[in-house]
Amino acid sequence: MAATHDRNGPLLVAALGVAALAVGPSASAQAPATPSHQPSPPEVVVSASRLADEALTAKVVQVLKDDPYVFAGHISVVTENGVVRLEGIATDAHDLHRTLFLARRVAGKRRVINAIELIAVDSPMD
Amino acid sequence: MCGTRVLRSLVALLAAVLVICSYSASSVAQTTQDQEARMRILQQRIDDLSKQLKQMQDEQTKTEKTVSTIDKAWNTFIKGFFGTLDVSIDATTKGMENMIAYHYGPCTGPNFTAPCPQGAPKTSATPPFQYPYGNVGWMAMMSSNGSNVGYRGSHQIGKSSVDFIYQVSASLDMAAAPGLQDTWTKSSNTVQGAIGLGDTYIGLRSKTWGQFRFGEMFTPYKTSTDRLNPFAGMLGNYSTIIGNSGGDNRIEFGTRQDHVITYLSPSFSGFSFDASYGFAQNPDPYNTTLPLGSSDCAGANNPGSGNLFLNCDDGAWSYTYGGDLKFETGGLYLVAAYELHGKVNRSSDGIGSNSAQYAALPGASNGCTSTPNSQYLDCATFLAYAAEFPTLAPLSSPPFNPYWDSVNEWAEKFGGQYHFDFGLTVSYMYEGLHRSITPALEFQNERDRGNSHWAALEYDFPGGADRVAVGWAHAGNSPGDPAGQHNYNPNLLGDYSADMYTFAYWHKFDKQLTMYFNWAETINYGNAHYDIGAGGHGIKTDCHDATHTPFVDYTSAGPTTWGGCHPQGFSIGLNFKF
Repeated sequence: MAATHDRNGPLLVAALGVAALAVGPSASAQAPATPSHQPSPPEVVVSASRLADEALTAKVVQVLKDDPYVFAGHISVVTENGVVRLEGIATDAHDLHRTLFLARRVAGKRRVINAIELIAVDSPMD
Repeated sequence: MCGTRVLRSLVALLAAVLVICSYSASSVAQTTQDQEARMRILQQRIDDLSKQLKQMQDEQTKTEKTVSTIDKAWNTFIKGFFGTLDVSIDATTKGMENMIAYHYGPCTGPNFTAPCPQGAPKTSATPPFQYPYGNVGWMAMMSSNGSNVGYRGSHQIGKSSVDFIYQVSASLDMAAAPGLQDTWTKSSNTVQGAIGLGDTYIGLRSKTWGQFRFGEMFTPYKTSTDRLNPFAGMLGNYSTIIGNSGGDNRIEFGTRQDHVITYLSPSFSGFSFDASYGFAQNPDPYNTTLPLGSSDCAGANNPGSGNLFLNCDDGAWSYTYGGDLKFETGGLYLVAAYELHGKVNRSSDGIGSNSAQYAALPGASNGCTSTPNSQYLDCATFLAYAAEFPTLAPLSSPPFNPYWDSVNEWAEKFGGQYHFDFGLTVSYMYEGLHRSITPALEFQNERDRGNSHWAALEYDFPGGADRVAVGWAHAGNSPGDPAGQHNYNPNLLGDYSADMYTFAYWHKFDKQLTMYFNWAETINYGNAHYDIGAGGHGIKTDCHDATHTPFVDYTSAGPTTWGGCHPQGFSIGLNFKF
């Protein structure tokens, strides 16, 4: 019996192995990805304010993108500690005003810094 | 017997079972070994497949990263380009068709001012004529307005927080071939439509201390108030009057300057400031030659445009410096700006002057042939000219002495703007222009001017596709006018003010394409001669007629300027930005 038991042992192991393989290569592929002996990656602390900054940036960008008439193709948006900063260039005073207005409306009570450079039309000296 | 049989049967059955079992056991053992071998092979294949799959995934990831990097670099490169393409069809008039030139007798007022006995209309067959000469009424034309293309970018210096920045710009003429503009109505060596005619510079930028720029560019005096001007590039551009001393097409304060350094500060709680310094780099003490490295005189135009042979004497400055202070919060914008031009040479203002006060300077009316001559006249230069061109000299008159007529000019302006959330933008600005000329020459000083204003209202209709704006600019009075080429009325001496009114409507098709309509009219009082379109509109409509003489000398070779004209125009155009 003992011999029989020993003979059945490999079958059970093989069956478990097949079952384990049947789970898919992903399982085996993932296994080396998190080896227990490797040092764990540095802890990433994502503060609530940073998430809020990124969300506000995304909202401003989306509003500028969605507006059918404002041309803000050369303007970038950065939010730090709740302060929205608009950078880049505008080639038209109206686009500048409209961009600032839309950003202010999205930002609500949060501050909006205008670092947009208005590229003036050419003024040949004659 | 029966029990024995049963026992034998049981033993036989047991034996059979044992035989079967032993056979089965050996059979099962054999099967297990086979399965194990197959499993090892299967496992090996699975491992091989996993490796191949991982390799494919790695390659795919690498390819995606490469493509992503290329896309990012390409997008960054493409986004560096910017520009404006703008062409309009205009209909304008100089508004001086019915003006008549009269002879005037010697003025009997203080300092040879009005009253001046009016004589008969001029009837000369040669300039100046009785009426403005040439096509001075309504004229249709095509104009390229503020069109340009530029490229800008930045480059991080090592791992520092400082970037190297750069911009190259080119002013495009969408309606004509690029080239020089050299005729009797305009003299310039600057190639229109060439790369570099536009803000072009290199510099350094930091988030903490701002940025420095080195090159050819507009100075803060102009850029700080650009946003107050909804009519940039149009007939009703505020530069028709703002920054434009003396009228005509050329702007004195607000032009692009050669070899200039600018500093732009970051924002401090809404406050920011900018500064500029322009190198003189001119070997002549009165700036009568080109600045080293420049193709035109400082302040524009080529040598001779002021009618003195090969001289920069029509506003050529030395060094410049200036700056601005700005404050912005919410929809509010406040600005103050200042700029100084050193030793601006305007000695050609005396050439061919009609001013009675000029004629009263000893030596002016007799060609410096009597002594003592006025110290304010450059008789030495004129007598050298007279010796070389004895037949032309009697037609001419001596210029002012550059020692007295090369002095500082400066300007200041204060303005504000408020954008209401319902779509209205209100802008206002005050400007003062100054020239520190000696009192004896104030009679020809058209560069000193206070009481000048700009106001504009701009309204965005709901939806954002359409907007409308109105604007008003006022030029305050100046102490004098050179009247060098101006067919002025001496009885109106002392009034050089003007008003410009403008209206515009824009319709946007999308983010980049706009159609616009603009109307503008300048009402010149007395002998003022401001135009429409100065400072960005491709074609200006001014108070000059088509009078000219076929040579450049001390006589009044340029077109006659009819002070008091009323230029007016309509413009409809398309504007595309990218």
